[in-house]
Amino acid sequence: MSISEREESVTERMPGWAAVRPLLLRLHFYAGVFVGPFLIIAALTGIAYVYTPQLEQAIYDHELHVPAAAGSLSLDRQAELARAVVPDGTVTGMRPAPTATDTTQVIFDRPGLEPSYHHTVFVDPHTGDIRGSLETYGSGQALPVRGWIDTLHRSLHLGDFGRLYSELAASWLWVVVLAGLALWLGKRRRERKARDLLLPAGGPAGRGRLRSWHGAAGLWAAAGLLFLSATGLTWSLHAGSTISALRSGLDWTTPSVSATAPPAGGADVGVQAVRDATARAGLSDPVEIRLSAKAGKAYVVQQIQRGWPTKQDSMAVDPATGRVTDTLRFADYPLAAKLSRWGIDAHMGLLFGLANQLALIVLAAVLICLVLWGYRMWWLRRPTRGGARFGRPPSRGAWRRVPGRVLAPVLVAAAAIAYFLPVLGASLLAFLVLDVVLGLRGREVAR
Amino acid sequence: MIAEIGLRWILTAVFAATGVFCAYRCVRHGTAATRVSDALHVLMCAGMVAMAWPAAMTFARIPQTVLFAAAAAWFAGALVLRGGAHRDHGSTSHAHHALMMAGMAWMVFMMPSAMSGMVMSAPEHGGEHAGMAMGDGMTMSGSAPPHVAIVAGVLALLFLVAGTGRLARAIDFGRADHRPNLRTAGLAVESAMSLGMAVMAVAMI
Repeated sequence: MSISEREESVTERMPGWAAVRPLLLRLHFYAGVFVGPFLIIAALTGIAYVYTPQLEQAIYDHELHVPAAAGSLSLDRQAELARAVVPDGTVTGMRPAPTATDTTQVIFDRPGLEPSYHHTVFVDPHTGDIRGSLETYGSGQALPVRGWIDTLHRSLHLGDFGRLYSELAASWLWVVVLAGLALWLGKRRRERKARDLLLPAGGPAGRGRLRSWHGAAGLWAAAGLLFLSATGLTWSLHAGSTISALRSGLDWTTPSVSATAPPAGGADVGVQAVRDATARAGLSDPVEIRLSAKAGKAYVVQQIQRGWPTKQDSMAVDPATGRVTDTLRFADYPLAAKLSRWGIDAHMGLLFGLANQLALIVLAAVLICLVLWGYRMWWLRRPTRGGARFGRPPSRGAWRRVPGRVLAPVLVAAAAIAYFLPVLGASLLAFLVLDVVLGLRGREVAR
Repeated sequence: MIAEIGLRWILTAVFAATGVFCAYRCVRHGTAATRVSDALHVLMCAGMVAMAWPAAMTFARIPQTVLFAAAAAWFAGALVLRGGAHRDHGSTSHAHHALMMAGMAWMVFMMPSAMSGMVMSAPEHGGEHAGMAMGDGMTMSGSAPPHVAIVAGVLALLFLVAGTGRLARAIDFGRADHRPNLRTAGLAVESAMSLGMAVMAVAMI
């Protein structure tokens, strides 16, 4: 027998889809069972996060809002009043009140703050009264409740170790979704009935009906879940590094204005003059003014509106002359940087306001249902006789029936993905080792 | 050169393992011609390990280039001597080996040129959700000259396709064989070498 003949005899044992389906079923089942609890936690904390803009407005109404009045103090005077409250702090930025009923936020760096945290003083721009001071988080100036829920969603308040939970969820979500999609579309391919694909079946309660709900709902939610997985990975600890490196390599990073100021030629013109100069140059509210931290650095004034239409233009201002030295318009961002901005804002429910929030809540609720239906189907598979407490998993050895020409590209792709998404790679490897050990043990017991 | 330390160690492990296998086969099995081929593969694996590390990536550049060019000629000669009529596994294997050796010679020779436009940097720390800063890591930015990038891209694609093809054969043979044998292991090793070289070629872009 020649080499090619021998190869044929092996690879033609099973045609493509029939060979691949059991492998996908096993992948979908085990990945789903494993990652399900993490997905439920991410979905529940995500739903909580979606509400935070409204929650902030209600809880911190006193700090954020003031009665409308005519006239306002200069930004420099407001910063001075805030400094008196935080003598050990250094002002790093200011968010001038965008409307007559908002406070000005004076942002401080202060000894003892965790990374990414700031101390923010809220000043009534009309009277100069200090309305309060809070620890805020990130460049989005999340107030304590949002910061707390944010950290819960991201790391369960367990530090970098906790971030592994959300990375596991985001890393496996797209795998489970794609495998599920392939199984659902592949299953119905012969029947060609769009209704069976798109809508859940009626009939008696049982595993068949549950599968129909699981499949149809999964099909509708697939695009959204893939989006959440992709954008969620950008925040992850390990895959996030890879994505950052990839963006950097492909020149997809978000551009920034040049904050280098010409050699000092006089006294600092002050924050109000800087804001006035940028307003004259067309930079509308809301903005954040980042103060020049050291000599030779310019003020940077950046628009901070994340809702549609996105306002992210920024300008650099020479502190000595008050002249705008550099301008960067959001319209001039590379497409990848724009998509990145919009993707992140949509994931956070900020891009399209209430519609965005509702869509995320529905998506998260569907995800929870999908996971619970999946577990329920597993439960219904359990033997009704004997001592088995769990349902029977899809049979082992599915990969043996997949031809080399199909399995080899899958393995190469899996290795590449495992490298770029290391938490997925490590958990997959751990699962394979466990599976092999259990298989060997089962074989010994059978003997 | 591989900038990312984890990947550097992975490639080092892959080429060390494949080199050890080729050394074993060279000492224990085959004809004089196949032993020469295996010895050349051992040298290629050593060259690949050196190329992955910054300190050794241009070590003995010209002698290495000459050596691997000669090795490419050796496999090309074997392919020609085998004759056009026998388009079987052996011919494919010789063509694949000739391609790997030629690719190796080119990569060693072009390495300084490819690295000339690259800059190593460590981005700012990040990870905050509200702030939208993202993860960090040591990166190598910049790009190789266009002609280097094009050839490296083509080589990466060829190595990827060839390596995947070898892996497919290894899987099929492995299933047909009742117990692991040298031929199947040889195919798997060829696949690992080819895929490793694809990664090295991508790193030059």
